[in-house]
Amino acid sequence: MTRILAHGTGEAAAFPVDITYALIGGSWALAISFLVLAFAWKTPRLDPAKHWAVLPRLTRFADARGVREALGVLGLVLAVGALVVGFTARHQHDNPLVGTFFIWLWVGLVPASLVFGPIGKVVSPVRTLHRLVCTALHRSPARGLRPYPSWLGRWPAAVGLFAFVWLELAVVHKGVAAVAWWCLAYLVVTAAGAIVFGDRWFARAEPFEVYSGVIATMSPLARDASSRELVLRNPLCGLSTYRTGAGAVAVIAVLLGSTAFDAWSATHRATGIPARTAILLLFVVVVGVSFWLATMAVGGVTRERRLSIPGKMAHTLIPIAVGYLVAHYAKYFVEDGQEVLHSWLTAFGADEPAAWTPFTDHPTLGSVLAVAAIVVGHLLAVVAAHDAALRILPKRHHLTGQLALMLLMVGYTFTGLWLLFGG
Amino acid sequence: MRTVYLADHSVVLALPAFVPAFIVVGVIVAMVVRDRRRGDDEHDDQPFLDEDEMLDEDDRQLDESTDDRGEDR
Repeated sequence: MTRILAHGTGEAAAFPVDITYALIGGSWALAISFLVLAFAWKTPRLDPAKHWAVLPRLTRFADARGVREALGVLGLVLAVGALVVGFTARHQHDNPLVGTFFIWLWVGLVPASLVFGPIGKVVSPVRTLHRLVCTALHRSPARGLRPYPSWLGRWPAAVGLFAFVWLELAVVHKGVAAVAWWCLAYLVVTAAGAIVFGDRWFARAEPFEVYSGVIATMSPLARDASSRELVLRNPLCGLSTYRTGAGAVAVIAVLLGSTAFDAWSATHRATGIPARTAILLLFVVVVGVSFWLATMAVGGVTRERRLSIPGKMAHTLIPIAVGYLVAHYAKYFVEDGQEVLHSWLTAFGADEPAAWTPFTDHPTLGSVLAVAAIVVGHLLAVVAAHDAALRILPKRHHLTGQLALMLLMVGYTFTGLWLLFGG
Repeated sequence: MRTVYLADHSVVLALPAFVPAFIVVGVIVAMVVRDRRRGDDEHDDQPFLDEDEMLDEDDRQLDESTDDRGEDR
């Protein structure tokens, strides 16, 4: 039995000051920043077209066919290897599949996408497989049997992400076999979708590619919209490039609700998969519906326009989600990431090198990083929401239209920290 | 299984945490109400897109999102 993602405990004990101050201070910081923004930031500034520098050499490197093919094949080999090991290895303990899947893929995509942009699509094994098969059959990867229905938007990705967090968080005491079967089901569904709808399916429905794309909106590395060259930019400028449309809020609600559930379930032991599934779903629905309602609490707009606001504001939740991901996963990425490498090495009969464990050695580091990531994530969200409100709300309602969302974000901050510290 | 709570914090803490947020809401609502009563509220000189333009914009975004260009490395 492998339970690799037990929530990191001891944050409250390790935090250098009484965490009451963190709870109240974080919430106050948000309200005060909102007040400053209201008076000091009166025109939209976060223009996605702006950038600091163009990087032509890096663009040539990143666009080189060899680099892309190599990364794609690496993802494919790793995925096939992990599945084979998952189904065949006798030892449940230290099986590389579980760590590769939960740590390298899920946790690793966070820093990789923050640094390199939407790298999920480059290393996606099913995308690579689809491309190779299409090349062999001399057909365009974009061609499917039917056009992708636009009303479906990113709902399939939201469902896929929920299926992942369900396996990660709701299925307690999962064996390697459960993970292997989940991966196999994922491969079958993703491949079937690509056959029916062409490679557009990956961009809309493949959970890990969408997850990587969401995080990548905060990367300082991006493509210029017209020249397609890689540029360095203010990470906040990219947020509004998050695509609106069906499922835009749902995708982020799954990410945010599941991290909240992760924190909650560390101290509240709801047993049984049905109960945990229901509570996980409840967390996601509460996050999504509260955001949907708060963003629509705006005067002076028609009904249709009001209904379009949650999608246009959905990107403002991304810094919060990324903050939680960093808070929850920094330790896993640094320490468990090495363990996964070790499990691969031992699977091939090599010796384990010594591990570097800064978070275990210095518990204060983890707790301070977690609080900082959550508070900074929310502060950036308030900035992004203010800028978006200036762009999309009627002028008379620039400030009042944000009040409900600001209160909600203070609520998210307080609840997030409160849950992290064990309720 | 015995659960040891490392820390226990009551939800009552939420009250002081929300005080500045409610003050900010109060201040902004008071200002807006005062401005509107005075009637010197500026007009919507920059009304955001009207309905048709908005639909166009949605279409454009849909188009953008459907042409799936590589935007990564």
